[in-house]
Amino acid sequence: MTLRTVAVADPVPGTDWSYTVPGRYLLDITGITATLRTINTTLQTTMADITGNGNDGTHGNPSLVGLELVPGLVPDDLAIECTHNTIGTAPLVADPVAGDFTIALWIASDDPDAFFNCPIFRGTVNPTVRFQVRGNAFGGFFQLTRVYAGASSDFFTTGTMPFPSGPVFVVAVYDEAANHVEFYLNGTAFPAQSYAAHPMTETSDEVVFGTNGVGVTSTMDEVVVFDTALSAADVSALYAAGLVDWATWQGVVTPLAPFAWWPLDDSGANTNDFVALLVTNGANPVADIPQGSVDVYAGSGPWAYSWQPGLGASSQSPNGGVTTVAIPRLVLPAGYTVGAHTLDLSAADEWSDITIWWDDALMAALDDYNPYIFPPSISLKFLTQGG
Amino acid sequence: MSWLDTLDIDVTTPGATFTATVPGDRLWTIRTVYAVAQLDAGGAPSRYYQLEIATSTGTVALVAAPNAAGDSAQDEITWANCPAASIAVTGVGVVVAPFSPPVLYPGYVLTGTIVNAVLGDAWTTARVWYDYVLTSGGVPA
Repeated sequence: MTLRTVAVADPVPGTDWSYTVPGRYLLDITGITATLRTINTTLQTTMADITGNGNDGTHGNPSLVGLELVPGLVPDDLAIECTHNTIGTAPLVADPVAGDFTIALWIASDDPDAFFNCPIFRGTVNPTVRFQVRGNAFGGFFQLTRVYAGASSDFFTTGTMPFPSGPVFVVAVYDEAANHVEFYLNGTAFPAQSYAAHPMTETSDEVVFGTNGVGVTSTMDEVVVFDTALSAADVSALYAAGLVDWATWQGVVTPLAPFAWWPLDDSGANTNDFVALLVTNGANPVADIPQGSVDVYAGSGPWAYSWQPGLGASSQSPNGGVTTVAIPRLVLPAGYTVGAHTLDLSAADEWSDITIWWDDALMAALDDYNPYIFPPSISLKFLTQGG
Repeated sequence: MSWLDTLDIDVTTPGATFTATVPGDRLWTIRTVYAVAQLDAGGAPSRYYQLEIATSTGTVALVAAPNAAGDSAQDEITWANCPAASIAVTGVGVVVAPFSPPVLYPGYVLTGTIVNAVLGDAWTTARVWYDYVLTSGGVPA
């Protein structure tokens, strides 16, 4: 008899984990452990600027439907669905628009007709600078509009291009000394565009993003504003870091000293999902075993589950909790599945660290015998019907 | 020799009762009875689910499981050899009730009932997961 383990691959966020017993195996389950990170996907009213410079945003227009948290475009992070609402700040603390600035953010939409409004800096009468990512039937484009003294305006655009699917990193760099505007898509620069120098004055500097109900469902993440004109090397480094995970992204953004940085992941208190263990015969459920104790959890840490024959229990701390769930003895032949069935699983919830412990004694006994002779009461049926 | 099988009980005719009878050529050792109940609105607060084992003589076992999801909702019930537990969110409940019967002989009848049901209550799924041996001692065809 040998106690063995099998590590089950983490499912994508928002889905339950599941394991199918491989061919010629007999899984005599001793126990199962897994961790669930639950996220309250309701975006909070305050949208934090994590630089500490005091430019927190506010989730506006709550009468519209649908602003919510979704898995981040930078991995291990959260993002917002940005189509159905807007987020705005008060007049910015200090003024980044007088002189050089850089605006960077991650966006995603599967529809080339998606329409975005990215950060808008307001001034005099009209927005002084507006950076937009826009789309039409032929693709998408970026546009930087500026309004200067006398309400005159000009704009710079990349021109329409096929819009990539998946997360896209877009950057606009305004280099006042060089009189250049440069756009970057996924770290690659478009030809720089020159402009005539105009003094720009503002009476207020607000940042607004989200499309306020226009366009199809889209995601926005990690909006960062620098009061400098970043170099091409810096933009390239940011793009590469954002593809890895949030810790790597943070490591590159922080030394560049952003003026304002909105990760757009302000989640409410974590909520404890209700979890059951689901067993199927490969086609249909044969058992769905719920957790026995239910805790109202208001923390932000992960929750560990342990399924094993015996009695259930549960305990929690400010940083997480553990629930032991009593299950019957499960001996599963090839083709059967075992996995989680989580009630009210949200798009950002994540299962991880899933391990099944199983005892190979029964399977070893099978290998020692003619395959048509089985230990008493536990059996494999190799015939085609049922099972 | 024993074999593993599942039996899908016919619940195509909506109703608050399902039955399964152990066939004449088999002895059953039940692992689980799994069922899904769709509950209509206006049901009594004391609504619950009952699994009965009966022989030709009469009832020999009754095992109850609670209604977790409430009215106008769906409950998934598993009778199995483990402690009782139930969870529910709006519209959906999952329940397990302790159940560990001995070997069931041919002709024994399993009956699942929604007790204190209202007109619109019905089982939408009922399934028995069991090990069996043939009464002849042979192998399945």
